[in-house]
Amino acid sequence: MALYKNGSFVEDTWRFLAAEDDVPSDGAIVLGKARFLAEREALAGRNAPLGIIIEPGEGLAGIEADIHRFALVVLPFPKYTDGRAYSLARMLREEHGYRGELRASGNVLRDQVRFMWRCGIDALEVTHAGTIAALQAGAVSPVTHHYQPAGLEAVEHRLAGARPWLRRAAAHP
Amino acid sequence: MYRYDEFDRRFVAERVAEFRDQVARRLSGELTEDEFRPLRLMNGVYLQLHAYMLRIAIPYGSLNATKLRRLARIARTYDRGFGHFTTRQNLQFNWIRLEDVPAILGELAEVEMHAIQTSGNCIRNVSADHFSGAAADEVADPRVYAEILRQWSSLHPEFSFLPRKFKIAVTAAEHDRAAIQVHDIGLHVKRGEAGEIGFSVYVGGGLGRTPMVAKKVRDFLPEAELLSYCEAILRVYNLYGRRDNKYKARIKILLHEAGVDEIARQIEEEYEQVRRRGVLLLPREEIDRIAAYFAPPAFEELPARSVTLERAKALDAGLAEFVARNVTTHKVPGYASVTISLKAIGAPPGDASAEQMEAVAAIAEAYAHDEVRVSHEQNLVLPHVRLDDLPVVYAALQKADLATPNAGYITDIIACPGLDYCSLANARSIPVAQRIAERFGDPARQREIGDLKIKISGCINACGHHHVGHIGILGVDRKGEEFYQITLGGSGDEMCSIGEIVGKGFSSEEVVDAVETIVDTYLKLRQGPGETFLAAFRRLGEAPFREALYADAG
Amino acid sequence: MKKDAKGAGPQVVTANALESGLVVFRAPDGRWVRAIDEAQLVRGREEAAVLLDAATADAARNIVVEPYLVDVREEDGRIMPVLLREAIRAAGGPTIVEVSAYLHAAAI
Ligand code: SF4
Repeated sequence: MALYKNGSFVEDTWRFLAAEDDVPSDGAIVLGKARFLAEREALAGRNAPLGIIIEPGEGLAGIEADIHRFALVVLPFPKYTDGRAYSLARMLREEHGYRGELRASGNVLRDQVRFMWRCGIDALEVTHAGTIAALQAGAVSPVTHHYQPAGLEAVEHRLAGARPWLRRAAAHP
Repeated sequence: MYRYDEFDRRFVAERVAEFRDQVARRLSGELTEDEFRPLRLMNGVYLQLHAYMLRIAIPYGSLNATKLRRLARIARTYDRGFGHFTTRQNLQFNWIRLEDVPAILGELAEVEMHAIQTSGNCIRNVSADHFSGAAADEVADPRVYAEILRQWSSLHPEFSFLPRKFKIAVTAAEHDRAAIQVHDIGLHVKRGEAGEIGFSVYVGGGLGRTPMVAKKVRDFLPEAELLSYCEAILRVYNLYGRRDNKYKARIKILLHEAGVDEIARQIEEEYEQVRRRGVLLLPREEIDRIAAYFAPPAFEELPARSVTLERAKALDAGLAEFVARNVTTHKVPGYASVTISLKAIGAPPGDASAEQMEAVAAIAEAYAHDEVRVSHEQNLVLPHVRLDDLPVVYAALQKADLATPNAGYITDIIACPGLDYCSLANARSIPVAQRIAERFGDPARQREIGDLKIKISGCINACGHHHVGHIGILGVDRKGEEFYQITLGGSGDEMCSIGEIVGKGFSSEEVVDAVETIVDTYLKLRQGPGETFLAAFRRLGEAPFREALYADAG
Repeated sequence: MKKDAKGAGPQVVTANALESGLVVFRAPDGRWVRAIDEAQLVRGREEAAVLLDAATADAARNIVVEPYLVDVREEDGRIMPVLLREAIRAAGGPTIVEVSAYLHAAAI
């Protein structure tokens, strides 16, 4: 598995905590939402980066007030056709002002990447060889004209004088 | 008609390039069928019973001569010389080679057409009243809003992997010709007290396994907030719609299980968020800019009555019959809308040959301000024709075998492709439609029966809208045999109702007789020719029909 | 839909060709052919499993899409699918008169 972020493949510095692992006192760790909720008070005193995994069915309920505490939010895409995480991504970015890393996990395929990027996801876990090759070649999707404003406004711009819902992508992920 | 600008053209070109690449990756083996399926479905490519099928989007059913001619050319070059107009106002080709699809999409792009989102679990082609812009009873042209929705929903990054397909329809008239109450979102364009435009918003209608009439969630949504509100509805649906069972995945089930009040509350809550952000609010000048594309053609000032037409009618009973049945009042005096029936007695409903498409294109250019519509009843419509021109239009239609005067009659049957083409089907639809049309083909008999909509689906997916047929026919599989279940009293208009199932199913041999029994029962019990089948059914209930069918069977 | 593959009576394997989408059957020499009469006929579960495995391998090699077994019977030396759905597929087209043919007939 490879982690793609900011235009290249990078080392993953986060530790995904297994159920039986205790929370270490330092180092960047990632927890499931249920565990975070159960240990929320104890985690409050910890002075190291914290990440959370939000399964599509779990949603944001109960963690709205904690979102600023996370430096990483992982959104699993268990199936290609399960589109819930796209909504979660946009809500995190647009409604909760989340600015940390937003990572898609699962077997990300290149045909999903543009949608993910536009919803505010900025890091991808990839296993599919074709997708890795496409990302390396910068040939993910030729579509740069969009009909709706979406998550990462920074990489898309409005066109002067054009319909206000149109966006043009500056560059590919 | 909406015209692409440079942005639209580049978007479609990029999308064609993307799909060309996806097809190449499939043919080269880089993509497995499982990986490719959702990609091809997002572009209207199905693998059907006999071959690949390509469904082409006809936004809100609007065509012109250039587009029709191109469709005819595609039919001839890449298919077997004909196409099938669907109940979603689209066109599908039944015999397409996968390797040809990119070339076809390229040909479509040249005439500002595409196949984006004609299938898959996304927002499908937005449909609208086929008499838009011509109907005397509309308060505005609903295509303006359908077009705005079409743009916003095109390759929407958040809503391309919904729990299930999602259909939106728009009407702007009290008499609902777009069946908005059986859509996931139905929009009724209205005017408020100060004359301002707004929408009544209906959510959660749909046919299929669990037919439901939509519920109204907003009485008057301000015009500018159309996209914000739809985005909120879609987000609630995307997050909470069921994904564990595809038969329970439509928004109607979410509404049904959580309750309309709860879902309406969630929508409003989400809507506040979207609206606060403000980016989707529609500025006045942008609505006007889209509306300008749908500005009415330059109508002449004409007398309401055409002497030419009246004279011609007096000489030609066929023309008189055609005008009585297939011609609808226009909002401008001296004009009319013409329904071109694709239901010639014995022909497959909704099919048109390349030659017929070209004939309609020529007529539209010469006599109808270059406008053609597809109706959800699988017919074509020339929305703006001068009354004076009706005799020549009729003659031209006759030559193309397109002048069947049966719009709205018992032989104007909606039928899905069924087991003759569709890989999901349980039973055939088209042959049943053909046999019914032949049984009732006598013009005098059709006239006596009057308005009667028969709708046939080959399986519970209900593409033939059988639930809202006055007589609905559903194909089922009983131990490998085709059987047909009959429903009565359905209706898709503003008095929307779901048909009631009467009795057990009928075999393929029996089903036409059963329809005849129902019709005869109606003729016997109606309070006169003024009482339509639907009115009589609503007065009488199903009992007399059931009895007649039962006695017949016994 | 594909519930006819019980494996008791004679069977053939069908699929759709990847490029054209057309209905094809697997012949004894491993080719995929349009005519059901040229299809390899198998009897019994074991033979059927071997044939289906070979067909599935062809699908993996991107020659055909979604192969499956179809129950058939032999009539006067011809192979006939048991189910109507498969009979319509094997016939290579709809049971109805298409509109172009219809128009042609109307013109005569
Ligand atoms: S109703 Fe069923 S048989 Fe008819 S087209 Fe739809 S899926 Fe196919």
